Amino acid sequence: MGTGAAVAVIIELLQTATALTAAATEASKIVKQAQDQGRDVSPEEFATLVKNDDRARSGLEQAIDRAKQVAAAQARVNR
Amino acid sequence: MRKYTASVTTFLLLSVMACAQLGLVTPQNHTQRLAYAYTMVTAVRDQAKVSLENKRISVVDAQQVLRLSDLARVSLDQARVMMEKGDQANGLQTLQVAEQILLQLQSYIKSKEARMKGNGAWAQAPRLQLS
Repeated sequence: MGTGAAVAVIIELLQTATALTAAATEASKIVKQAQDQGRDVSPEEFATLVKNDDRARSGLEQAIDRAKQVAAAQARVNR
Repeated sequence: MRKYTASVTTFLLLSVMACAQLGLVTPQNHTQRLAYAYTMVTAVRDQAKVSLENKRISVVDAQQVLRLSDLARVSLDQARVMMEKGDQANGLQTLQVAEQILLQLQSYIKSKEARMKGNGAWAQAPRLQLS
């Protein structure tokens, strides 16, 4: 991967985080607060990030289930 | 090993550049970097959900994203435990593994979206507004 392509990928990763999830803003706030106070990210702050990810995982899983159901219904109609 | 170290170093440098470009706070230590990595897992899952709902990736692709993002998440959880126990070296190494998985995942989603676009399915799907 060239440097330009790698920059694009990482920027896109962060853009996705910025655009699609409130979690990104939260992470940025958490990191800034930790920096301002000259400390590590706390276990409680990690717990918040973990909770956000658990929610995202559940959302993706549900979307997969819904897509499977739609595909199955479509297959029944086509038969 | 040298190639791996070089790619991780490149990742770090580029992450800093990307953060600066987007106005995000640049992580200054391992726990802050870990916090961003957790967010990236969340973002990748959200991105896959939106792409699936807009028919830009298939169910099989989304399942693969779910499986690999779970792998990244497990690595992050392990890295966090290691860092909390003071094992910074192994914690950092495990964090780097997770970051590599996330980069690969992002490329995977992009390539699958491009494939769907080639099939014409993507063009018919509503476009996601990033603002």
